[in-house]
Amino acid sequence: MLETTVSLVKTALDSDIVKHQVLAHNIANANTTDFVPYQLSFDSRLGQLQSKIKTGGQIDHADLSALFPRVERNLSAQGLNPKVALDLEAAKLGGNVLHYQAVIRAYNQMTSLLGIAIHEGRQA
Amino acid sequence: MGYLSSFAISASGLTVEKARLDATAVNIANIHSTRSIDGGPYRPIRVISGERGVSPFAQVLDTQQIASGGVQVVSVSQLEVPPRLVHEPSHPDADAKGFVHYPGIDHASEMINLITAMRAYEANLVALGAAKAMAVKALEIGGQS
Repeated sequence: MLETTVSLVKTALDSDIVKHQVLAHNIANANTTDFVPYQLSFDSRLGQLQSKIKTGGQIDHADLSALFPRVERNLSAQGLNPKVALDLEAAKLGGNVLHYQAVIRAYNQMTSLLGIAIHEGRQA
Repeated sequence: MGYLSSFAISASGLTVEKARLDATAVNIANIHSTRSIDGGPYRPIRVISGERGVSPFAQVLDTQQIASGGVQVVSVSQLEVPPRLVHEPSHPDADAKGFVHYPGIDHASEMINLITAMRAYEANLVALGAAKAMAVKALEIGGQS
């Protein structure tokens, strides 16, 4: 149980950093001509994983790879308006930082819970 | 997963946008230059940028290794613009008909380039700040919440 949470936290933090790199790359190329922005996508296994969690199934390491996003060109933007929307990218960036901080806070709360169990309920 | 590549991506963006600002500054500074190194009036320059590490970027991220993304200056090109002709027969650089060939620099487009580059520079700084905030927060892993 604990191991799953630790690997989940690790996957979440890593995918946040990848997301940040993709957003930073898009912003850096905001004025590059003919640049098609990148986006992240999750494969279809994510939906299966979600239903598995809902039904209370155990998550193994194979499931965790579904949580890691893939990097691909935002092809829907090609042709129509391939320009990078700076405001949108900055907004996603802000949300990403908050998510990163939230994951770390949740993890810290879990470890402090663990600390209470180690000290048999007494204050450390 | 390291932060160094995040910083490098944003830093490359800052470098390119600063080069763009420099190009605009050079163009505006030379708005009345009738003599250039290669003869004739000064010709405005543009910074052409391109993606750094285009093809490996997605693959590298997929394999969860250090990303080599970002942007780079591909070239600095001179624009082919017709000179601005001003009738000044007494000017030392006037042609046989008394016209002086001034650089055909478009004020409006230079100013637009300036503002776009400035905004893009700021956006890169925001991305850099976000990476920094994440790195600082990562130091709190395992601490008291």
